[in-house]
Amino acid sequence: MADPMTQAAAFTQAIQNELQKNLARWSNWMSDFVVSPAEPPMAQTPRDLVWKRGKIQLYRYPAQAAQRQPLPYFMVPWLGISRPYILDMLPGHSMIEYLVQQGHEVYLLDWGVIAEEDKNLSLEDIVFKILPRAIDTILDLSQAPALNLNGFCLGGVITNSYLGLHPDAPVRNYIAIVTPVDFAHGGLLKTWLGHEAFPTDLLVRQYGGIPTYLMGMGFKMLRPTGDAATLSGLWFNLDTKDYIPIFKAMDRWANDFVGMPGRFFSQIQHELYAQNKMLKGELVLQGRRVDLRNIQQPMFVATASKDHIVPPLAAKGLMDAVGSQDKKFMELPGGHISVFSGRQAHKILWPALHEWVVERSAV
Amino acid sequence: MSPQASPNSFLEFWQDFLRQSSSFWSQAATAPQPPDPSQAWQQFVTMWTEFWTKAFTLSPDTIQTSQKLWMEQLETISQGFTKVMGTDIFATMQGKFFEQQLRWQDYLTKTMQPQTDAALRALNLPSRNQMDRLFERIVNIEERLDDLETDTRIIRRALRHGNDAAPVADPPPSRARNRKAPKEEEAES
Repeated sequence: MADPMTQAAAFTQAIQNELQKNLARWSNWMSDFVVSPAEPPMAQTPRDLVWKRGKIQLYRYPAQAAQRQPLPYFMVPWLGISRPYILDMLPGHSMIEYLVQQGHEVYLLDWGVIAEEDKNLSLEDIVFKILPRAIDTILDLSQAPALNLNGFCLGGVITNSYLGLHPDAPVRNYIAIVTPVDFAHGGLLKTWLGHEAFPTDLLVRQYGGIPTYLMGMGFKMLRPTGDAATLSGLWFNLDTKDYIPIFKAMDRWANDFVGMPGRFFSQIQHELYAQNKMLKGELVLQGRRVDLRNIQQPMFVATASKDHIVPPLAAKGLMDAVGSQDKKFMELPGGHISVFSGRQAHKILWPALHEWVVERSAV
Repeated sequence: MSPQASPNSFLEFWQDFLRQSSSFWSQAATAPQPPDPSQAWQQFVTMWTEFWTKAFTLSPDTIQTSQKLWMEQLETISQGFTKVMGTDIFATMQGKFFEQQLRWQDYLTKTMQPQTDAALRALNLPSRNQMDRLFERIVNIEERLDDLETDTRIIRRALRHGNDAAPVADPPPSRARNRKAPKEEEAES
């Protein structure tokens, strides 16, 4: 143990440093939250709308590198819950921006702001109509023979169903990021939604789906101290000017919930969370069985070690369920969102993904 | 996450917590006390100072250590809540509570519906149901427009390929949507 005089000096210095930091914190708080509380502009990567179906919009992000990748990169995010602009959060912190700078032509399917009028949107509509139309549009525009398909979270459930039903789909490579497959390991969501007491049918009848406020409440309950931790982190880092725009962007997105269509939610709850039908090979859509062994494409699966929404075991089940021979699995540090949009993502996931896709995209 | 536990695990969790807390305080209370009360306080303050001095001297940055301890404390509290909320009894209680809320809401809505509709009619305003039906029709119209656009694009593509192409009545199938999986077609034939 150091002698008391050294300890006292170190302690005094630490207190002095902290006082200086507190001054910087108050200064930044006043300037960035009181005087100029505006949020930073998000989703700034240039894009154009190439297809629309009601609220559903398909955006194209043109490649920005001199050397273009041969196959388009199609992102299918989660349906409902929140908006997908987290994938293009801020300049310098955007997965889409990174990919277009590496030469990929990226397409993003934006489901829009789900409300009660979308209550009849089902997994069948998406898998048999919407996704194929979007893919046809992409292939027409890009003049490519196939594309790289990337599903995120429930978007991965959609893409798993699509590939499980369409073995000849024009998909060269398949990427599933934090995608639940084995719902038996679904964590708290499995405990709540998989329980027979959960009144799904009554909820869907009353609201047409999951309303926005309920969605927000449910996700906040998954991490009861989440808001306290977020505000604590803000205070601890408020002396760093660079931290503030990222915090504002993440905070805005993290509280920007949308609802979920009733039929889709009903299918997710009854057939996946309650009965785990997809992994068992019992999920039937329009009379056809979803067989994950039809997924033969090279596959990249990424999970997050501290994911409380889709625990790693829930996502890892896909590795053994598919028929692909060329498979890669990565469990990355971080949570459900930070794995593909946090500060570590640009160092770990994005380069790994880019290299993996490029190796397998020769035309 | 925690698997579904027996219905008594919620109570057992709290019983265990109370038991551990009681054991800690009784040990603290039975620690040897000096005859002079002021010395008891001094003993406590000495113990407390020694503990925090030890804790802070483990890291050169005292403030960072306390920040880490705070975040770890939040994480521990969250894990405690998660443990309780991950029990079968919690899921049952939540489901039943939620169901009661929805039924009550449904009852209130149905009771108030005639008066609400009458008031809206008097004010010449549309009701919620009318708005929902209107939005659904708009969504349906947009979907049909998209279907028409898709068919038109297919027909235009077929016409562009000229007379050698497949007849307009038989446009090329979508590349993205297989009619059936190959194995199913084989089985049928």
